[in-house]
Amino acid sequence: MEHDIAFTLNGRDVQADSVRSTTSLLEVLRERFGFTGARPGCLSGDCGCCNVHLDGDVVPSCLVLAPMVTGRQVDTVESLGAPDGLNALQQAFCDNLAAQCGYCTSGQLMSAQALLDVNPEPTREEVKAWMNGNLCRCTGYYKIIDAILDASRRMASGDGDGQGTSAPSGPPDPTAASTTRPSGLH
Amino acid sequence: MTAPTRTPDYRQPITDWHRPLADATFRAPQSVDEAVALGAEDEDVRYIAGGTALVRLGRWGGSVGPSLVWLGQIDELKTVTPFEGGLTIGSGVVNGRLIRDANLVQDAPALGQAASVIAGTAVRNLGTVGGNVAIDGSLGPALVALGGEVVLRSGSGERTVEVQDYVAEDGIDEDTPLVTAIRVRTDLPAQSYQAMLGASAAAAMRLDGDVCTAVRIGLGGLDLATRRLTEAEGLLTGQRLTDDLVAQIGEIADRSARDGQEPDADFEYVCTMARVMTERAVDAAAGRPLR
Repeated sequence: MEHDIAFTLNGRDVQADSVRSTTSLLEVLRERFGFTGARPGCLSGDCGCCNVHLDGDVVPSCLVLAPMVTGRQVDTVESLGAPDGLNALQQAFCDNLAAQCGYCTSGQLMSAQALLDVNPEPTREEVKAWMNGNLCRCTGYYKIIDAILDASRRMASGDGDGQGTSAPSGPPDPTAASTTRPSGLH
Repeated sequence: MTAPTRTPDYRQPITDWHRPLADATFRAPQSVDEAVALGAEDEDVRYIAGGTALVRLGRWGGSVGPSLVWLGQIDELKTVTPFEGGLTIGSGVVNGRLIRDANLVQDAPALGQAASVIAGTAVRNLGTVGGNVAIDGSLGPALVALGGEVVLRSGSGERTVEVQDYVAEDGIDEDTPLVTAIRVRTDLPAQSYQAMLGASAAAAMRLDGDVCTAVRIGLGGLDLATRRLTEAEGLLTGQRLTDDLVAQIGEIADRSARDGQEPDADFEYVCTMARVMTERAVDAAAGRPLR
């Protein structure tokens, strides 16, 4: 059974045509729209690599069936910022060396952003509890936690979005070729 | 605006990385009545809410069935309604709400403790209370300790079944019943849920000093069907909690875990965890130090 799925993606109204009922949101984001920030990891909701925001809540896109997003709002990691205009959280990840291979980083950012959206000044224990669904084989987690707390401090002090390198360039066009993909990774 | 369908041309298409699920019909009713009608007319219907269990099952070789009915657009399943002495929790309430809803945490702390061991934040934003009950998940022992009843609706009408009986399918005789809500009681304020891989237990009690005047105890786990420890409740009611009494409660939990469980490599471990988690749940609910 196929569906035409109209939804809001990174702030823009889009439609994916002729999508099978059991196609995952992850597949639609990557294969139909070229937003490859969300990564396939475990495909079971265990690792967090595919996390996106659905109506403002962080969810594993590998477990969301595409028809479930009809009429709803989906935001991917590409909506947080741009290479020449990182948001405070992304800049904090860079400054705190919170990524090594980078494969889990998109999911880490989406989970962390969701935390800071509801709790702008979390404690270390609150960060650890919230982020326990995001696995990382590289970093040992400490620098990720440090980055989130650093971002919280920056946001509280007003040293926020788009001030990492240059002025923000706005959310990427979901219909255009992606320019936010780090070289060598996809 | 229709987005162009394209594959980036810098790499070869990968067809199976996403472990595709078998195709199925997908319908999204707008009301409980509509959902029940779909279940009554098609015996192959599988209700899906968050999909965190069913999609996982399908991803790793199981079947999601030929006919999916998605409950996510039915608002009446997402409400929490108080009644005299309890709460009616809609089956579509996500597990994460049991942790972050201040009223729920105050009235039913054992449920929030049980929800906190379910996966991670993202999965808890998707998976529902009804789905967790349907798979006899982590919430089971806490729901039993809270006197939980599952509200079912089908073409035959509506009725309620205690959680432990629903899990054991005692008295479930209609086809494709829809879980619409779970009713819990908030009459026993001293609550605790304890879990370790293999077994989880919950206790809810009322105390008069250090005397337990009323108690309900639930036990369950990954390979341990949720059950109510009525023998332990009888032993505990009206008694002062002592180390010896709690140890006797643990022995009852151990015997319950052994009954009907297939002996395998994990058998002794699960039985031990059943005992330890039950003892801890009783101790923690009573404010005693954990052993």
